[in-house]
Amino acid sequence: MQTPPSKRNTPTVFIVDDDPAVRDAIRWLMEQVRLKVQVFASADEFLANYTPGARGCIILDIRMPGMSGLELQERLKATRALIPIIIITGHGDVPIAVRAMKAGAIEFLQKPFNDQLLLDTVQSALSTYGEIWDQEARRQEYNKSLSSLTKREMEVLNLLRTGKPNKLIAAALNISVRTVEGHRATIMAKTGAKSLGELIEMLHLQN
Amino acid sequence: MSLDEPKSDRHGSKTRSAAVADRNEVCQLFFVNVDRAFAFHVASNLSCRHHIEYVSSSSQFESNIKAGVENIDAVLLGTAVSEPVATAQRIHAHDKRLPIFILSADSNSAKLRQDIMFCPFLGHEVLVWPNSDVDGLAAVLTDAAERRQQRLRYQEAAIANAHVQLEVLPLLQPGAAQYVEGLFDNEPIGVIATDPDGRIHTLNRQSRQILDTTDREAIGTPLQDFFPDCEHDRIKSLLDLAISSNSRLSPEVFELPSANGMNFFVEMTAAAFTMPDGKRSAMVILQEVTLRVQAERQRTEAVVELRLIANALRAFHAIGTDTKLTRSEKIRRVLRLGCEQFGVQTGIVSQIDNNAFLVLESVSDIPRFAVGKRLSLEKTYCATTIDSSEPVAFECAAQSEWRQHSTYKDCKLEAYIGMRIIVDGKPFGTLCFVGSQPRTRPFSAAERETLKLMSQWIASELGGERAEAHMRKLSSAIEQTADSLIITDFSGRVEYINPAFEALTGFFHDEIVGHPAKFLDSDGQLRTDLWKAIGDDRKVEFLLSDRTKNDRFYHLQMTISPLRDEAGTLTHFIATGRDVTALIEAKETDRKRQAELTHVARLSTLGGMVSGLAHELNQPLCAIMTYAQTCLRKLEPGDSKLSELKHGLTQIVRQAERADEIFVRIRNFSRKKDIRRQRSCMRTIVQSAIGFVQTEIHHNNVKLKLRIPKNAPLVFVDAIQIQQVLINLVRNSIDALAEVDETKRTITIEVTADEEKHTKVLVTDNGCGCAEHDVTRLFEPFFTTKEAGLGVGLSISQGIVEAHGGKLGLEATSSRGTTFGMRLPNWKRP
Repeated sequence: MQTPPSKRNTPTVFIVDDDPAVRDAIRWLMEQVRLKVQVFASADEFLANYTPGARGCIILDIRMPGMSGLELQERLKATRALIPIIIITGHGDVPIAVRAMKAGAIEFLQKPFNDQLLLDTVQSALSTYGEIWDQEARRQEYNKSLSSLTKREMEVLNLLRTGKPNKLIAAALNISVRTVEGHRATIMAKTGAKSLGELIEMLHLQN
Repeated sequence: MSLDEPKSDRHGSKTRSAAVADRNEVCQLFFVNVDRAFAFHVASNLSCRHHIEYVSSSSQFESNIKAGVENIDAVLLGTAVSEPVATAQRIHAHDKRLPIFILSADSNSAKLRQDIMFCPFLGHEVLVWPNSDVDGLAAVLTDAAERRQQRLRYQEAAIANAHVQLEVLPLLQPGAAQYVEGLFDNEPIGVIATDPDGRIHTLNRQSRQILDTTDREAIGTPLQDFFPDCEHDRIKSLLDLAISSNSRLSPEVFELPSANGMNFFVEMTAAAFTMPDGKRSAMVILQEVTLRVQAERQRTEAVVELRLIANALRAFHAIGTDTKLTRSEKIRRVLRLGCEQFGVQTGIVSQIDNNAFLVLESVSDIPRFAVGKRLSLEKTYCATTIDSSEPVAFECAAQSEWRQHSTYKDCKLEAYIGMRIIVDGKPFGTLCFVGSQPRTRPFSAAERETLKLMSQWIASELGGERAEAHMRKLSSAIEQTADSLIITDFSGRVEYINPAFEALTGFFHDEIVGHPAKFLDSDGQLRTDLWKAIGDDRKVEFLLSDRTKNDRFYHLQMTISPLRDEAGTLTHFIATGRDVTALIEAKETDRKRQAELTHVARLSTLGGMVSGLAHELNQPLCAIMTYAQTCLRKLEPGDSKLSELKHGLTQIVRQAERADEIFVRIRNFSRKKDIRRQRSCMRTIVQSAIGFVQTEIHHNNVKLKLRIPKNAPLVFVDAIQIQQVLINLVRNSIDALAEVDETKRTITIEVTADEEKHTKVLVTDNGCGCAEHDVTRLFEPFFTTKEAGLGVGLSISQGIVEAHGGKLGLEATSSRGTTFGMRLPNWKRP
């Protein structure tokens, strides 16, 4: 079920736990299923080494000296980081669980956990976020191409999106139809869109 | 036997030796007016050498003696003789060395003895004999008669010897007269020959000296002219008697005035003498006996004084030993005795307090001296007496300066003798005797001594009364006191126990008294201590734990003091014991409760740490599970190498061990076991304690600094309890740090070797400190500043540390932090 990961986009399992034994055990488990693993003894250490946009998931302990797991989660949320968080904790503490889930944790596991459950959670998180990460990657690509358009080309594109024919666009912009056609060809070339439909979708994603 | 029988011519020189021999054979005892049956009884105890003459008329007997017709060795005056002392006196006027026994009923003896004592012209051979003692009488009669005979024999031998010498004098030889003259002159005694008219015919040198005269003056002068007028008749009759009788007369003593005012005494013995012309006249032998008379008088006085004192002593003894008399009756009797002895009517015992003279006891007709009367001290003669250590006495105030005394002016009391009474070393009052008539005789030294005796006797009675009252109070206190009291003799044998001790132990008096005291009998430390204390004259204190008769335990806080007599010799031990059974039992209960409370507090501490511990425990469990599950994955068929399992399994074992450690720690900490102090390393204790709170420290982001010297001394403690204290302190510190910035929270645990023999542990945080008004209450039970706290942590911690002989306290607190300090005794090499 796993999609063969491209070298660049292979997701990493980030393990943040202050207990070295727990850390090592989880690492060992993840390596057994050939996942890429990075371990951190504290939230601060993780933040210091984390590249925003990096694909992967965080297995996060709540109770840690220094920054707690929940704080880290809130920091990541504030930076709109697209990374799934699996909370593991020694306490079946309901208020903490609710807070974590509200903050967007995808799973809350109580130590000691079932290995299959953890692995399943990690897999589903990675696959769920795989599409999100792809879309994001595309959006960033579109953003890049759209940003290369001139002001006039953007005006043409906005009018195109509303479904107006060239003739009406030319009239609206008080330019010739031929000029409109010229701009359209440039827009298609710059964005790499093969059809008008594709171009519309691009615009939609960007917004 | 009759009065006429022994009529030998004892006075003739030829039969003298025969008479002496005769005296050896027979003793003449004269019984005058003696009851026949009694006499018979006495006679039966006498040997046959004794002849008893029974005389029924004492006057007849007296005249016989006067006539000198009787040969008498001893006289017994019977109870029927009406005035035995007077009779004896008359007999002695004639022969002062004749032993006289006066028979008397027991009841009358004392009176007779006293009469004899005050009878001046009586010789020494008078004895009052109680008629109850018949057997003894025979012996003393025999004895007296023997002595009498012996004396007579000696005298007669001397006279006979003189006669023999006279007979061999060569009076008829030529020059004999000169010889005699020379002899006369050189005699150490005075010899005077008188003519029939009593004029001095010849006299020797010694006579001239005695009479202070010369031959010319003396010869022809009547002898009596050398004597005071009052003696003239006596001398005349003496000379006449000498001339008329054949016998040699007994010597008589005359007093002569001398030039220097000191009278002297002359003994005169007269005897018949035939003048060369054949006329009978008298020869007188003179001897100066002043020294003898004086010595005799002194002796007589001394004897009288002795008798006075002896009498007083006897009377004291009789009064003192009469248990039927009350104390005041005894004192009154002594006063009466004194009145009799001193010949006055009033005797007083007074108590003198400041200026008041209170009549305690008195024998008096004078109303102002009645018992209970109070006088001003100045108005009594005793004002002088109380300040004098010797008796104060005067016989006739009118003739002395005492007539100026206000007492004399008021009452005209002439005779006074008084002595102060000293009780307990302080002047108490006076004993005095006063009379309204002047006294003829001066108060003698003996009388003063008697008074002193009386005063001392009364003092001892009064003192005794005080001491008795004191003793009564003391003994009542001892009987009533709730404390136990045991008195043992020097060897530790119990002599007395008080009711409190009986009540406590359940043993009765008879079961303990007379037996060795158990606690003194035990060997070992106590005995050593006791002997050492005796040497230092100290008390010994110790706790005595023993069982009662009912086998219950009791505990006495004992104090044993040695008791010494006046000479400083150890005689007794006094052991007092305060019953501390309840106290000790309460302490024991308290100790148990304290232990329970400590345990509960420990569980409570543990409870507070449960979540932390659970989390801590969860970690190895979580790791174990994960490792194990991963191992299982690796065992899936066709999966990777078995060698990879090693890491997982090793980790599983390690983590399981880790979990076990935590369990052991909790189990140890929560276990309720007896306090067991042992040699422990402070470093280990601190580290174990930190083990518990590590998670909390960790999660609270607290930085823990440990400063423990490598060679921290060993302490002697119950490690778990001290861990409990440390955990409490550290957790308090963690709580105190809640308000402090996470990056700055620090707790420092420092172990130092405090001064000598102690180790100090300081727990310091950099929290916000204790509020000033809380500081004093920190160690109060149930005082807490925390919402969830019970408020027992510190108070129990303090209890634990103090039970270890240490101290727990707040060392310092300020807005920058707080330090608690715990001080524990080091382990000492036993």
